[in-house]
This record gives sequence, C-alpha cells and structure tokens, in this order.
Amino acid sequence: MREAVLFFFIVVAGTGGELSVSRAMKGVGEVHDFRPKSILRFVLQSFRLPWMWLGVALMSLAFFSLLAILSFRQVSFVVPVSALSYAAGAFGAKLFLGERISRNRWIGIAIVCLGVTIVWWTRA
Amino acid sequence: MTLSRVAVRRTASAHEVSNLSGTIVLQVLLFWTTQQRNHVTRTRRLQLKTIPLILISIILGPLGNVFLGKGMKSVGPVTSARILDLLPIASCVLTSGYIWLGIVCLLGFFVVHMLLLTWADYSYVQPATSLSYLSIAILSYLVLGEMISPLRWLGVTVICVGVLLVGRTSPSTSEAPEHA
Repeated sequence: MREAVLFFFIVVAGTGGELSVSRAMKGVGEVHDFRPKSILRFVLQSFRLPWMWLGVALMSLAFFSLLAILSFRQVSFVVPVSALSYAAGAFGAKLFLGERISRNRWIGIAIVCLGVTIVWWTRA
Repeated sequence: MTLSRVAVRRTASAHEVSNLSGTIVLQVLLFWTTQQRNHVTRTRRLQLKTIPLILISIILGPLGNVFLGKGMKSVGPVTSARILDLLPIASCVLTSGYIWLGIVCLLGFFVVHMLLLTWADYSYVQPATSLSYLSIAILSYLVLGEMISPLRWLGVTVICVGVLLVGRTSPSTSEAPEHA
C-alpha cells in the first residue's frame, strides 16, 4: 500500500510537474537567444508564472518519493515500474494540453504497461 | 622561321584550350566529389558526436539512480510519513555522499540530453534512450549486486520495446498533419 502511494507520487506528480513546467515554458515563449544573460532573464521570467512553481513543487514531491521508495526497494525494480509515467504523460498531454496521441503511441504505451506488470510480479 | 613560330603559337593555343576544358571538367568533378564528401563527412561527424553522447546519457542517467539507491539503502528504510520522523532522515540524506554523486550524475545526464537535442531530432534520441531501462538492470546488478530474475529481465526488455515504439511515433501531434 505504502509503495503504491509512493509510486503514485513518482508517476503522477512527476508527470504533472513536467506538464506544468511545459505549460509555463509555452507561456514565456520560444528561446532564440542563448547568451548567459538572456538565459538568466528567461529563467527569472519563468519563475514569475504560478505554473512554474506548481511544476517545481510537484517534481520535488516526485523526487523525494523516489528517494523514499529506493530506501527499501531494489533500483532494478523501482526504475522500470516508474516507466508508467509514459502512460501518465500520454493521458495528461491528451487531457491538459489537448495533444492527439497516435494509435502507434497507444500501442507502445500498452507494451510499456505490460512490461511494468511483469516487473511488478517480481517485487517479492 | 615566322611560319613555324605561328604554328607553334597555334598549337600552343590549341593546347591551352584543351587544357582549359580539361581543367573545367576536372574542377566540376572535384567540386561534385567534395560536395558528396562534405555531405558524407557531415553525417559521419554528426554520428561521431551523437552516438558517444547517447551512450553517455544511457549510462549516466541510470548510474545516477543507482547511486541514489545506494545512498538511500545506507540511510535505512523510510517507513514513516510524519514530519518529526522525516527530519533526521532528511539530514542523513543531505549529508550522504552517494546521494550527491547521484544528483551530479542526473544533472550531467540532463545537460547531455539537452546538448543532444540541440542538433539531433527528439524522435532519434528518445528511442535510443529506451536502452537505459536495460542499462539500469545491468548497472544495479554490477554496482549494487541486485539479483535479477529472468522474469524481471523479460519485463525490462518488454518495457524497452514499448518505449522504443512510443519514441518512433511522430513527436508533434497537436497540429493537423500536412500530408494525410
């Protein structure tokens, strides 16, 4: 149960964080200038947007959940299971960013889920 | 004397003309081959820097996770979610060398990934990084001594295939395709 909650945080909060950061980045606009000064300005600008803060908070939650689960589970179990974020990413992108997911991508995601299920059986 | 000089001049100019046309043909040939060679060397040069960087990113990212795992195993199992219990654990985590090593590896992975994406297509890089699921299994076996059952190898391989397929689809789907 405890690890299910932690995996939920890793997958859902991690993906939610990436989606929020992605949304904030789209708000700031495309980067054309790669001089250090303008990149710094870009970073400062992005932190004025609430989406950025939400994204960083969610990604931190995901990172600390990863650390917590690594304290009692094998790395070769935790990291493959967290590949579920491909499924969460596709659903999130469809729901929140309005992206269309191709049939081939759904097939790939279904195969990832099958692999995660197989790895999950080996958790004992 | 003069006649022979004229003849010499004429043959010389004829020689020059044939020389000139020969030079033009040669130069066109040379230009064409250099163009071809430039194209080939450009592709090869891109591969020369893309493939090592992909290999580095496939190793660096999983290595970061392996170090995080090693660090957290030394901290001990986190079983409580109460703030008072988490504070001493947090101080252990922040002072663990392996955790910082892991974070440095993950940051390095992030930088390499960003660098790759400045010239390589995402749809080229993403399927290649699906191999990182195999390398995490190999590294956790080698570095941490984790025993990996055949069933887990099968699962990891299936995940690799799935991620590979996800990456092979079009990277931009939010706009209508131009060619149906």
